[in-house]
Amino acid sequence: MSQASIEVRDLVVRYGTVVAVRGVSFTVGAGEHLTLLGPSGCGKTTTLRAIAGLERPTSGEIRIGGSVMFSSSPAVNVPAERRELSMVFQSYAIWPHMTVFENVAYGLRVRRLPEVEVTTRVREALDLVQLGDLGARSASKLSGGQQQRVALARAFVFSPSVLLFDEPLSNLDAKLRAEMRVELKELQRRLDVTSVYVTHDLEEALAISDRIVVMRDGVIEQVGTPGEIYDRPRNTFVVIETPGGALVHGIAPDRRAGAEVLVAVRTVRLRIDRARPAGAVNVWPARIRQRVFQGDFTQYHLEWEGRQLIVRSAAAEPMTEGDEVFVSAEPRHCVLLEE
Amino acid sequence: MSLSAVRYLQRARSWRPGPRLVSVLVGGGAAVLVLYPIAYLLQASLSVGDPQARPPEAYGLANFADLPRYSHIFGNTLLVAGVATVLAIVFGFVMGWILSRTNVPGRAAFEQLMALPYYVTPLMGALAWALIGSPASGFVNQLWRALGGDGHLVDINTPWGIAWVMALFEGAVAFVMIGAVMKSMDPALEEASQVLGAGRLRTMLRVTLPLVLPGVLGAAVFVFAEMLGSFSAALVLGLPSRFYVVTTAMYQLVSQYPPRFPTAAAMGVSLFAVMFAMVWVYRRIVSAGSYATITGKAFRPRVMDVGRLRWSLLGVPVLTIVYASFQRLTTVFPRVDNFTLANYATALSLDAVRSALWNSLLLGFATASLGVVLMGFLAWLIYRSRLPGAGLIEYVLMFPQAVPRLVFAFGMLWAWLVFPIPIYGTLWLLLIAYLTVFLPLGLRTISGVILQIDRSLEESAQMCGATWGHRLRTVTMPLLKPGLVAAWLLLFIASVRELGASILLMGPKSKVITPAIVESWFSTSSELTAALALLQTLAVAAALAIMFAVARRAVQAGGE
Repeated sequence: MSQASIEVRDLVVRYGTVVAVRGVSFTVGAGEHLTLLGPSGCGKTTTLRAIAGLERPTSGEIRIGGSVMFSSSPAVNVPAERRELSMVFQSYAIWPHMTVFENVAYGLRVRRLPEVEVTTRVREALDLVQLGDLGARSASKLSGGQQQRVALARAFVFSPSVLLFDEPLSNLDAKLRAEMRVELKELQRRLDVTSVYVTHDLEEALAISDRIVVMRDGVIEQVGTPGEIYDRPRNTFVVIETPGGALVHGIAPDRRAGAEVLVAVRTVRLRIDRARPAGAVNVWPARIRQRVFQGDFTQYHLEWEGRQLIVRSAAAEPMTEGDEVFVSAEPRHCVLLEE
Repeated sequence: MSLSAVRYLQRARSWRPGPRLVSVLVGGGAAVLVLYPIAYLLQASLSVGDPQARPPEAYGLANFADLPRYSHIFGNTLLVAGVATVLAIVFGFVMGWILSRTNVPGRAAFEQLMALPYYVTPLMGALAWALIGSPASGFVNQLWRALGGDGHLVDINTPWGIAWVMALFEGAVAFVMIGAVMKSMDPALEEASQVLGAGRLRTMLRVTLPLVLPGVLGAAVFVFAEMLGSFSAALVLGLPSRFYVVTTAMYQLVSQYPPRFPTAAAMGVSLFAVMFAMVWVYRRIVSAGSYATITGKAFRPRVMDVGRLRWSLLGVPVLTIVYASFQRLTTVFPRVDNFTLANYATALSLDAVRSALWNSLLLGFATASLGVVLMGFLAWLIYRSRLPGAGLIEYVLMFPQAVPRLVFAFGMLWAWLVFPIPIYGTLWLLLIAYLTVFLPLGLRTISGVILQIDRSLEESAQMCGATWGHRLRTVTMPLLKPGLVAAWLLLFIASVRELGASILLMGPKSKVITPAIVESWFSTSSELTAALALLQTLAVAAALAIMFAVARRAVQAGGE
């Protein structure tokens, strides 16, 4: 399949007095899978819809495959149907008055492909999403997971150069979501298409992206690979928005003398011991307030310097509530934050 | 830049024809349809020269200064509307409470019964109750005298009788509004109060009542406004005893010789102002009680789920009319030699009746078909196109809701008399009138469906590469079909039954059936009138049966 790069420059989207996106710039390489991550209202969906052509930006420029799709000066706004991209909607947007086959065939028929080719390609697409035998079924009689698959097949069947995903898994239950995440990733790689994915779920973003753009209040907070976002968050927001992050106040020796800095450590990287671990650099005494057994790991809520600290430990030896313990973190797991 | 990109650029520049332009055009069109007649109503009310002169010779407030002479008419209107509102609210509250908070057996049947007034017009109700309760020949009073009573037991030709009929046949909206508030209220709110230790009475006073009150108050204001503009019951039942309300007085002033247009216009403007204020108050109440936001305006009668049950529940009043229509001389005691089909033979043999019936059906089809297209487009513009000023356009288009149809028709009478194209006295004028006064009805019905259809259904078609026209044909229209069919039916029924506007606007050569029924009531026998009313009902029923058959096929074909 063809791939196209996407360039977004100084994108601003304003609704009346509300500014949803305030000057966002990023690029998506051909064949790259980029995810826009952030809480609701951060502008990620608006940005995606602006790329799709469903939202008219106030200013900025959007190029797909080198051609200008939107520009405020000179004024260009290519309508969505001529941008040759495709999208999976949060609500799936499966047409209830058509069969599964008709839903998937829509994009091909719009392109006036011969009916023989339409049939083969729809069948291929349905096989790929494991719905091969459901073509004749009315789309209104599908389960959530099946609708999701139909929406996927419909989106990629006509070989768009770019696939956009607007929180496609958020309406599924947790188990199905985990399954679909794996399937989606496989599909993405197999289709070999450029994709932009919007989600508020860190795990989802980490799983399926080449690169992640973290957004807040219409601006970009950090751009990086999943590993970078997870291990090297730039500021408190990125830490808070990526669950499993802990904030530790500390004193950095190489900064201005005595200046308090903020350090982030992933809760799974923190260690707790009954005795002070020998040779460790960052060690703090703490007390276990609560212990929550969660199966794969045990989550401890610690009282530490008047604050609460959460530590996830996979250690076999259980500690009991009220125990005095020592928390430690290796320097390579500590990230100095900007704010 | 590739060649296709250049083409994109060129097309992109000429892409939108300027939403502002569309907005101005639509706003302008709406203003002509809706505001033009109202402007003429105002003009007529300010005319103080020769009452027959058009345009007016002089302007002044004399007509309004003259209104206190008619204070008894305003008093009558307030009395009838007030009593009818109280009746309707009490009735609606009790029914709403029974249907949403109790488990009385047969609730479903009750609920069906409450929809009855949508199938029987207030005119039919008034005619039927006139047959039942008129002092001399009413069935009840015939029985009363047969049982040895003296004079009459009930007299429907009184303010109380008029209010009774109005509450029964026009007050159903109170039940719908109050019932909706009660249903939308989570019973858990009451249960929580009880669990926390409050008794039933305390729960009722401290939880239920405050929650329901805005809804009931809103319904009361709304119904009162409707009752102020009510026409047919007051016409049929009030005229024999020379009891006038504002609408019937206006009708009298316009149809007498010489007509007194300016006085009638001043009355209309006063009524309009009061109703407008009431609707405004209603909106305030509804928006203040945001925790139970049930607006009567948002209520859409559901025509689509007419079951067999409802058709079998057409009720006593209709049976009375059926009974009367087969008699030579209406009497409560059946005698074999009194039964006849002559009324139907007469009704169908009269050219005037035949042409009126035909005109009505024709107008019904035209109004419904044109209306669905026009209102569908307007609804889409208002709710989907993100047009600047869409809210204002909606406001203007909903205007006819706050104006009694008779008053509106009065404005049209003047407006279109001076219109350069001679449509006065033709069916065209009626068509324009129907399309205007039914704008709120059609818009509300269609917009309800449009709002139910998720925007992403259209957007996903766009993402598949479908152009505007293609999307409309393959996605939007098929999804809207059930709503459009419902709107068509509602507009058709409403048009064929329309009285308030038709009675003023029809000409000698463009008679329609409902005013013809009223004329027959006052000038010929009640038996013939009953036959006419039934013929109208049958014609509507037949047209609906055909439409249902077609619609069901269409919906099924679209849904599978």
